[in-house]
Amino acid sequence: MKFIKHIAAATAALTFAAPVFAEYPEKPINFIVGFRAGGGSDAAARILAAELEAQLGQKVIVENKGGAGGAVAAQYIMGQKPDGYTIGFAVNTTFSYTPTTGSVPYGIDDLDYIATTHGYRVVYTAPKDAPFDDWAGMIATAKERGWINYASIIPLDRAVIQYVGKKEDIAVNIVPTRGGSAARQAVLGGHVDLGFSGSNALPMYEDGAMKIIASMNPGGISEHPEIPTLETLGYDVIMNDAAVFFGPKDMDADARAKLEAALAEAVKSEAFLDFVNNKFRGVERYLTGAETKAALQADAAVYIEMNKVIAE
Amino acid sequence: MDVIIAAFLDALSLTTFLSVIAGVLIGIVIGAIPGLNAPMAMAVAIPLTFTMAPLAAIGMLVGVMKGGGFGGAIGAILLNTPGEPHSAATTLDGHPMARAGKPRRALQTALYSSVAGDTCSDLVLILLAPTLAIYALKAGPVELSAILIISLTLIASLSGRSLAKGIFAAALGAFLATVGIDPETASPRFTFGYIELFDGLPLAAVAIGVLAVPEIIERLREGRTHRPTRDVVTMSDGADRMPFREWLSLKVPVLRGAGIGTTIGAMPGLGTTLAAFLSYSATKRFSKEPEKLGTGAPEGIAATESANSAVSGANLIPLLTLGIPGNLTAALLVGAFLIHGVTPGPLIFERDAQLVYGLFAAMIMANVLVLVLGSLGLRLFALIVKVPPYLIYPIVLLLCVVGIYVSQGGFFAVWLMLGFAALGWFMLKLEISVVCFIIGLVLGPMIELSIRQSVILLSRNPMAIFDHPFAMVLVALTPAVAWVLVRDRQRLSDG
Amino acid sequence: MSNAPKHPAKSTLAGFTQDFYLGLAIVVFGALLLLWIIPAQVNDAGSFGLPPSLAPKALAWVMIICGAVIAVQNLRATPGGRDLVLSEVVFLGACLLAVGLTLVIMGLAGQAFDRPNAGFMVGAPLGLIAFTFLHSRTPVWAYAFNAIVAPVVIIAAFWWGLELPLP
Repeated sequence: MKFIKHIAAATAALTFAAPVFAEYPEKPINFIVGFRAGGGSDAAARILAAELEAQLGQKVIVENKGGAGGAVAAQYIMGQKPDGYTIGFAVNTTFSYTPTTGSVPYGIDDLDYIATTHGYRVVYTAPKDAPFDDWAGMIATAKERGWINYASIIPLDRAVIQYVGKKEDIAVNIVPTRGGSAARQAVLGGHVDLGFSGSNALPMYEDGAMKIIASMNPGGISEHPEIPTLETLGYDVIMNDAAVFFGPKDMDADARAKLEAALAEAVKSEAFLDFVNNKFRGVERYLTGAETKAALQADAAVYIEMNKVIAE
Repeated sequence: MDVIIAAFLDALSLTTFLSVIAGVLIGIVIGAIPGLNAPMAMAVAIPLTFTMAPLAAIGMLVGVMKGGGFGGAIGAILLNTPGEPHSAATTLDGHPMARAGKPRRALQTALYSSVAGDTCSDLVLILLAPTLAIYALKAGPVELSAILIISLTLIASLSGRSLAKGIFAAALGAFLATVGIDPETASPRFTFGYIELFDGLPLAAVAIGVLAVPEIIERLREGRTHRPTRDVVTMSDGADRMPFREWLSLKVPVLRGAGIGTTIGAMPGLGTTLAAFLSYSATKRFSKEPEKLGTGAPEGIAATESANSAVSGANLIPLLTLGIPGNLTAALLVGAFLIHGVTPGPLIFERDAQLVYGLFAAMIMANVLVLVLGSLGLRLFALIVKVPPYLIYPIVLLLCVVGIYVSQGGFFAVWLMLGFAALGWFMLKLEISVVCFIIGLVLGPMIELSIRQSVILLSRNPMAIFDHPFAMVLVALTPAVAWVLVRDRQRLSDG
Repeated sequence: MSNAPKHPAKSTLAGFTQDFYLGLAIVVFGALLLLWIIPAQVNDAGSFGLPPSLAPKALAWVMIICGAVIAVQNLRATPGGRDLVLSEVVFLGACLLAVGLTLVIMGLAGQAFDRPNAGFMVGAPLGLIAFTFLHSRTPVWAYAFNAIVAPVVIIAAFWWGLELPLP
């Protein structure tokens, strides 16, 4: 036990002595990724972590704490020291939508935001032999037949289509699926009329394997301007998903600013741009911490309105 | 044709060759570590491939996938630590065989069967992928429900001495699998306020908890209560070997496993665990000495390992042609494809022909490498059994803790593992089939989801059920299958 | 369940067997699920297909039926089957306690020392000593090996080899 006391004494001495003369960061940064290892979000996080390491000159230790769409990581970060040595990575909706469902112990104000680094794109897909080619056709089909089958992946896309169903007065038969590939499978196999998908559907659309009749993210799909967005179709909802770096509430201001500046540079790196544009097929979107928080609050207001309409 | 030759030359380049070797090694090592598994090996390897050329990168990951499959078998056989639920089927005969002093025999059986199953399904993939994919796509929720229900009936024969206890175990497993966010209403079920449970119980933690930890505890206890029995007989190397000729006598279970694995792998949504246990129960049903299965019979290992591995090859059929992965490892592979700018889809054979044929060549190469590296390592792996128990079991226990911590991202899963260890221990002592529990845990939620999907799809238009003749036939056959199995059971217990 | 073995010393004696009590315990467990846990933990609102509580309820009924069958089948003492032994249950408790304490120590040490792998460096050797002690009849060198060499190898493999952070 003496040994442990020695270590404790030594470590304590280090931590107390440090702020006097050292500049952030003077030790490795723990970087908690809110998704399981190996996926697209994780890949982006790791590329950015490598860039951060280069910018800050300190090791960035990537640790995956996946679960509940980033909420597990958010909850974990909430309980950490706000010294800037523990930061997290999740998505917009982890903070803007998930808390509105009342199932998580945090809200937008319980965390600090460092930056938004890139945006996700989400679309409505339909089988290639579907009896409609566009959004209006889909609504017409639904009205004529009385219902439409829809493959859903996450609670938010389910809520959005319920909202659309209410607005258009059509019955949407929501078929729950586990994960993007299962929903894609249902669409490709023609088991449903409509499905939710991330950017993975874009190459299939380009190959003619499926139709894409609308996009949900603001701004739409730049390389396919023919695809309308929910906004241009006249709905007041969006699905604004983007990757967010965040930290515990009341984070050390100096550390937060340094991280924000480093990320502003990191998102301009060639490796990251190539990943976002060509591999991940997301959108370049950088927001500062303050902008991120404002965006989250604006989105949350939209989702709360949407939840009200659905509950009516 | 030129494309194919060019592709094979690509695959034979030194870089590709070395990356496949590295992949296979990473897969074997990480797959064998208690608590880690093939998806974890994949996740570790993916960042390494960021800077590599596409073929080398994908070749490496395919190597990881195949190496990881065999690595999982090593842990399952030698230490009873299945990293994924499907490896639980390998422990059934593999671990008793290793404990009976034949670890190398068990590993060799697993290795040869695994490579054979893999090669069979790779050949099917290479020759028939586009055609098969179109058929596989026709299986929607209704068909999947029917297939799962009849499979569950077939697997019920694994329930051990008491059918009631077996069914109870499966029901308990299926019940625990309902923990998490309900897929339809998005409201939490049995999460008791823990958001860590929203995605359900972590399967690796549960599998290690109920299967491996109780086994370790029992081994530790033996060290306390009686003189070391040295059940691990130090045999001369000659007796602990599986001559290739002898392995050939297992060709029936191996081929059946390969067939089952390939079929199930080609249909996304069913998964490796189903294939492994179906193949195992089929082998038990048709075995001349069914009572030997579960006590260390090589057929048992051959049946499960060939089926497991066949799934991983056949998984690439829907993966390449439709971008739909069949299991977690394959899902990570899709991600890696996208990272390297390869988009799976119907046009992949036209757009990325050279790469796809290069991948096929790399797959065959990976199979050969698993065989070669596995054989070279066998002697080394088998030594694990000779390590004194007071060294190996404490370390394996710690590895289970660390492995689950790392792969599941935190202590929460480790505490769950500990809780499930207590459950598994009581199940072991009370002779409640842990295998049935695992089957219920994995298949239960699949059945629930596919039935609920079918109900939603048919709710507005019940007559559409007649569009699914295949499913109707299967459902109609289920009682007959159940009757035959019950009759078998009675005959066995009478005889 | 752990109390069950006290009743029948040997399953061939008159009286109820352990499995009879197991069956009863399962029935009670199933009833508990149906009457208390399922209503408290599942919310059926918002479903339009089969309700989320259907599968758990059905499975609870299956468990109750199986438990009843097990109990009835074992009304009469049947030969075979091992009984729980109290000392074994105690040993299980000791093992679980050892692992649990190791986890607590790892967690606390990980928080106390702001360094990567600190929790593991403190907790793993202590845990390994405890696990090794559970085995008894262990030569002293094995303690040293487990407490020093094994954690070092694991750190080397996970941290430097695979770049996976430990607690």
